[in-house]
Amino acid sequence: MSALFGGAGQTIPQMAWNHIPVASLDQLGCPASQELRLLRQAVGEGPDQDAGGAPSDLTPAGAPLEVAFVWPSGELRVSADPCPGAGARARLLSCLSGLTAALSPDQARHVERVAAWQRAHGSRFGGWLGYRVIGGILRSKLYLDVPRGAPWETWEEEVCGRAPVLPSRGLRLSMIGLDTRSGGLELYYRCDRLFPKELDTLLTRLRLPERGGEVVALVAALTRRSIRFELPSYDMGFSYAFDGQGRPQAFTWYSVAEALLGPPDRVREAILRVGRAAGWDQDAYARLTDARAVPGHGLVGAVLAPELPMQVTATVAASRPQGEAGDA
Amino acid sequence: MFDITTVREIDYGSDQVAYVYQDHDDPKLWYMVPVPTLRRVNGAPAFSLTSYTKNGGGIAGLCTFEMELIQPTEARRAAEEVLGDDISWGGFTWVGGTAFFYYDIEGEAEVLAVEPTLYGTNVAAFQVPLKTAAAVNTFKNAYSQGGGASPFRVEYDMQVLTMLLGAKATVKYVAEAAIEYQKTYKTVRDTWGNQKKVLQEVKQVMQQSGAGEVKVTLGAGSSPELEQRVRDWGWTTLENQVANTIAAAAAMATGPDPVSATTSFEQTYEEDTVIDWSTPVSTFMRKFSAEEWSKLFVEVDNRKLSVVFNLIGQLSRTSDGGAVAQSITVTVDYPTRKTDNTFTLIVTDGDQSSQIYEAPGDFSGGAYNPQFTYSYVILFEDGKTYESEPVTTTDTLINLTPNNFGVRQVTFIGQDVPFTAVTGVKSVDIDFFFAPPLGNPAIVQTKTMTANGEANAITFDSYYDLPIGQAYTYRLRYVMDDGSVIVSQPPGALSSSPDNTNSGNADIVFVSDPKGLFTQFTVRAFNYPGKPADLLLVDVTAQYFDPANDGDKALFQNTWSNWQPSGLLSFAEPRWNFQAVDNMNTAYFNISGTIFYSDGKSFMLDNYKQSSEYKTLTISNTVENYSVKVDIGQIDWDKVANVNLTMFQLSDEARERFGDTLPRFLTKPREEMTSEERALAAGSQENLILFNVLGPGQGTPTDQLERYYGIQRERSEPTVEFYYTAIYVMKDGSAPRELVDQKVEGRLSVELPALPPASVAGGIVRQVIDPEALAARTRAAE
Repeated sequence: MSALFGGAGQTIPQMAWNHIPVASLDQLGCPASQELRLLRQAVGEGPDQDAGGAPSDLTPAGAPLEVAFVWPSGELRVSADPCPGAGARARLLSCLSGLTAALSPDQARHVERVAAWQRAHGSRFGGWLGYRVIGGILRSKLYLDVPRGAPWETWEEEVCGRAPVLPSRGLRLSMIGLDTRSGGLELYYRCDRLFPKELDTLLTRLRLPERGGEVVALVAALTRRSIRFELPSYDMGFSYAFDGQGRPQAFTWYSVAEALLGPPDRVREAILRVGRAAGWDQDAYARLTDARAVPGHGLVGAVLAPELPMQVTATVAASRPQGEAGDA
Repeated sequence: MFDITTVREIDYGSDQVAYVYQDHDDPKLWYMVPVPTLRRVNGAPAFSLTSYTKNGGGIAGLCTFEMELIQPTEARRAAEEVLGDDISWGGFTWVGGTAFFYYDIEGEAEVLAVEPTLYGTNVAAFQVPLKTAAAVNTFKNAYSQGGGASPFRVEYDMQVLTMLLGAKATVKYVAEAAIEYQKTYKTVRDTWGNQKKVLQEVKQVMQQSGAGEVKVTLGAGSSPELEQRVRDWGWTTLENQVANTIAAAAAMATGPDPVSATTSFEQTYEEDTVIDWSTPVSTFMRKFSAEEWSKLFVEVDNRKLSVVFNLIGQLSRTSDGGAVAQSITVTVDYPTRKTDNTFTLIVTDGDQSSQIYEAPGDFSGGAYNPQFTYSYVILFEDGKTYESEPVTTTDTLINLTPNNFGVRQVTFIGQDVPFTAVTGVKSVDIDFFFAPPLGNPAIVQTKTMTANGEANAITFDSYYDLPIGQAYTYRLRYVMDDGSVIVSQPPGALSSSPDNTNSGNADIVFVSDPKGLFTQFTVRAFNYPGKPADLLLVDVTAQYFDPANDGDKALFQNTWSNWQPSGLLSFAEPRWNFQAVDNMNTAYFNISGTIFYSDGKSFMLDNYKQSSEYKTLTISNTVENYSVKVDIGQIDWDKVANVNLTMFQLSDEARERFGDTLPRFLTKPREEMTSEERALAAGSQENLILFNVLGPGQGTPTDQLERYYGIQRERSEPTVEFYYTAIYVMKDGSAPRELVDQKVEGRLSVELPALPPASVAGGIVRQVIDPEALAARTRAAE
């Protein structure tokens, strides 16, 4: 990993998790639950330093912690900025030190490649760190910023194994994700506005079933409008997820929540309305997004994996409960 | 009139579906939404795909085809099996529409929109330039592999008059939310480009800011499907209204950022209200058999000229349905086809209402030459003819609209006028005016409406054998039960967005309750950085006057005291809301107060007046606001039927570019400018306003009301100038009189003359207010 650790002696900063409002996680459900205990532990441990400081770029609200809800599975995930205000390179190193397991050799090569792009083209945030609990085990995921101007196309085509599609939709690889448990790789793209049928074009590139219609139906339900032309979001993207052997596993369409549904209270109303109709358990989401002060949302998305029902995801900035000065 | 709550699906043929609606009153009367179908001309499909093998002049091929809306016999038969064979079929009255062609090139979607003819079978002619050989191949594969459906589809989105049954809808625009969002999202947004772009931006801002709201309240027994359809309609309606508001704000701009010059509005559509409903219907096009394909696909060496000529709009008389003309013979002049270059479109025959004209490409200049010239001769029913001037263009779609035939048909429909309320409206007198062709007397026509609904609609229709302009003017006079009269006159249409006009001339005007128009007035301030002084403090009082309805008294008033503008753009809070009569042509705001600057100076707004069409007062640290009084009291209404007064200022850049000589086309209404002229006008004119001054009608007094025009003077400039044009339409049909090019050094007032002299070329008046007059105004204010 010469590109990452080369150059002048760079010290890896201590993770400074104390700034993260982990108490907000307590609003999610029973604090004694194994899942929540592990997540809280992952982002809630660290030296007891003064709280506050620079806002994070992780969320539009500046919160350094974001919770992702997944329905109908009920799974919870968190993403965190270990060191708000730090430089991109320092953050990347900090994230690496927070992983729960070693990266696979392939993943390490991906990190090296993206880190080199970040050095050559500059990086906005370097990386984020994600956690989720599956089967009682805490799993970490490393997200890496792919800077604008990085020559990602050739590499991306090798990973996908098929020629790119939608040449006029401004597709741009913006981030990659590396799951340390599975050894998998996820490619995240930003794109211009897409037409409904183009979701199937994106799916068929990876020989995934043409299920774009399910995403369109979800978007229609959320917005309560019939969709005849472009998908009604003004900031959207998608991701391709591959397992450790490079086999396509899932496609996710996502939109910045505000660009699809408007201000936070409208996002909340739409998600709860659709969830109620579908019978999802949304107690934790409802608590975290208390209607009196709806926190900023990040993304709304739909995950399509072969032979599994579509999952819907929404991310919410985890703001500190009111009156709390810090969190140890 | 069909009942939107009774929609039923009718399956027919192999997996095909048609939609039918029951009549609101007659249970045996049904309406079938027609289905898009590929036209056949002389027994062959109206379709061709051409591949250019050598010299495509920038493209690799061209696909042209024509669709139409028909009610398949098979579908009717299937419907009658379900609904009974004793039913009868009614026809829809189309008031507008768009046809869309959805296709994709290698998985990437494209949509092409065209305007259907709106009469006959609503023919829609599509021309699809194919940029690459891959695109040509995609089309070949889509259509040529024998039988079944192609992956490409055509959708017609037609507007049709109906009643809002089973639901009530409220559409609301909250300007504060949009403005706040604009401020946080993007602080600089100064040009809005064309109307379509505006609509796109509006949708985005409304969606992301939460500024748009559509609330649907379902009546008893109504279905969720109806709610969805009403909600879709409500959003489309709201988006178009906001887009028009912003387009007007951009045209009238007295500062950057038109969204921040918009004000909130709300409109409720009660059950049973007449509305223009949308009925999207789509179908996949079919593939062709090998035999057909051999005739429809051709390969040629060079690109050819291909132009669609279309008759568009209602070309039949509303009274008897007769055609307004027999035929129109078009001649195209292009270097490669000098003979056999004339063809005829038949008005009475929907099958001959469009023509795709082709000629070998002209490459004599080295590159493909897209420019051609056309002219046409109209043969009217009475045997008279009209020969047009030649038009040179590169457009590949030429629409011939009713005004080309001298046809004007405007229908007024009562939407929610309280005719039956206890203290309601007895009747509505509608004064209607447009400029006829030369030689025809011009009069203000008046007709009376006494009930809501399509059955009680009031139609103004006129037919000439000469082309007429697109603009018209009207004034509504509501006669109340107690004998009082409420006047409602809309502002002059700026027509800055002719893309929005649909049927050319068969327009529908909805007439609403005259009272209770939600009106919002805002005061916004720009503090531009790096200027000699900032705005420090603002004290203003605004009053609303509507002399046409309530004489000289101020009807509403609001004061903002000790307001300290902050940042680049700020608003005096709270916004001022009140409910008024919708009378934007003659009502005005009167504003007094003082603006204090950081350099110790102050400026007094002393009974500053601006038209109520502008609902935002813009102040800044770089300009001072003055108002110009327009005196129309001298106009000789014995001879004049109507005056159109257009007032504007020029952007700094345009003033520099034009100097003392303004381009001639600025004397024309926007809708009569070419697209290039319109773009230039939109980029150079600021603070544009159009006053229609309607002459006396039957039983109406002469309009003596003064109009007010607010102008901005750069604080760094000693003088201020503005421009105006005035067109006097003569009662006797003689040529309109116009003001001549002139420079007037004057005061803050305009006196329109009794009658400009005949036989002088129309021009633009440039009025410069000298320092002395300004100083006098300032002294008077101090």
